Amino acid sequence: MSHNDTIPLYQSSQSDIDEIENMMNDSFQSGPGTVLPARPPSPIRPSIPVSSSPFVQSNLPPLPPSSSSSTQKVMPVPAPPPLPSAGNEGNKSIGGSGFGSPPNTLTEPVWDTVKRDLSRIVSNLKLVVFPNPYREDPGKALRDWDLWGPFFFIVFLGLTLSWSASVKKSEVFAVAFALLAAGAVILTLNVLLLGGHIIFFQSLSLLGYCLFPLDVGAVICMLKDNVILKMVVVSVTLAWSSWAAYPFMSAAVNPRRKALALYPVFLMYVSVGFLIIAIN
Amino acid sequence: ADDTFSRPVNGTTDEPQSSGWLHRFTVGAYKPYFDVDTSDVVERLKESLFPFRGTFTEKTANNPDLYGPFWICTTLIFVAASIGTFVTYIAHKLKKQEWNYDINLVTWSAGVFYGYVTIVPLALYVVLKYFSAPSGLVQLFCLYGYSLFVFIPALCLSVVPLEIFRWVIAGLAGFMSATFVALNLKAHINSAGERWFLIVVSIFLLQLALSVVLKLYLFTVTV
Repeated sequence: MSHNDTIPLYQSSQSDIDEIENMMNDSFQSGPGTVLPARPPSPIRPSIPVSSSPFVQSNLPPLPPSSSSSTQKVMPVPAPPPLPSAGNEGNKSIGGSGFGSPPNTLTEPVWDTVKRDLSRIVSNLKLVVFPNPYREDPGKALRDWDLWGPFFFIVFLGLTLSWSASVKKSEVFAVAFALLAAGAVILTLNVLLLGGHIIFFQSLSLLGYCLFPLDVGAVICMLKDNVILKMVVVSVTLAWSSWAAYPFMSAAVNPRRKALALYPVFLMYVSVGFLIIAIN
Repeated sequence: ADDTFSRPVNGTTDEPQSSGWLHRFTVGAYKPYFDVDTSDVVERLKESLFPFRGTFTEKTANNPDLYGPFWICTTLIFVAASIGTFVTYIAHKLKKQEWNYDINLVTWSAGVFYGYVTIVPLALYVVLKYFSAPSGLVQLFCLYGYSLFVFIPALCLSVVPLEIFRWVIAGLAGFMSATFVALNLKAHINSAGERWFLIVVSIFLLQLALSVVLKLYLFTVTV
């Protein structure tokens, strides 16, 4: 840290840092129900839009009553306190909210940003795809959705298919990518047109995460080229993907139109599964 | 996140169309065409399998939907591509030949089906307007879309490797779907004057041509 005491801004930031550390120490001693939650939601996330879609509780521990905590946003606190350890010049440059600067993602180390996004992808994956006894309600949508995960899964699937193809590799990638990306958009539009209530990007995010089992299946099929094995693997992963997407899609529409909303999801996954089997 | 698409469009509290032509690009503009329940769609599908009743247009006059046509076409693309691939795969394996997946089947069948269901009703709409027997455009899309439903079981049955059987199936499916379209348009066409026969025949032939093209492209295996 620089010893530039003449800048009042820095001084207040430093005192706020001390304040936070004191509060943390207090909270460790005084047990639950205190100011700082163990893992508050990411401050970078824009505020959750209010819509008629069901509001979901994440699986984070419940936030304490907000009256006791600060009015500004709370910084994320991974196990070691971030500010001293991040140790870069950027952390003291934020003057906006006096209570401990929110990490400036432009100047934090790249590894921190990547790690945060990766951990969000993993946690979203666990919420959506894996049987999770802590999941509040499978029909409720992701609270902390992002688009990195889906993007990664779609590109990965396209690359795997392209790699397994022996001819016309780039066309295979193009068709797979277009099918998945356009398919997700069309499926979301389909639900909206049928009078369902979902948030556009949240639905894209969910459909992208549900591709994870098919990614796994595609990798297995790429490694072992036996037709029977491929069919078995693809059927299992297809069922898994559909199971993951089912609660969300069916909760979004009127029950009389549930099949109309679900059939296209099933169609898309079946066609991708077929592509996986057929590419050799 | 974007709130634009999730704003529910309520019929009673209709906001005035803010800008005439931009309204076409919102989701709300097309919601009335998707106002069907599962039972409605199933019933319309069943109607399309009985071409000689001719009651389809009456039933869908008030509530033509675009859900059926779009998803029937999409399903057809998938079914056509997969059956076509499967047929060539079997043929190559039986003769112990090398086989490679042809991705162009997917793109080709997408072009054929979407193109057919978009362009032919549009052309028919223009023709009918010219002959002063106008039919709603969405009704025409609906009619043509559902008429393609019979091709799904037909394609599935064409897996059987008997050439003559495939031709019979193709002919039958083409005939059924062509009759479906022609009979349902009959009321409209009759009022078009002397040319009605010409229109009916051309519709019929077009649908048959589609069926033949499908059979030739998907099921002609050169090993």
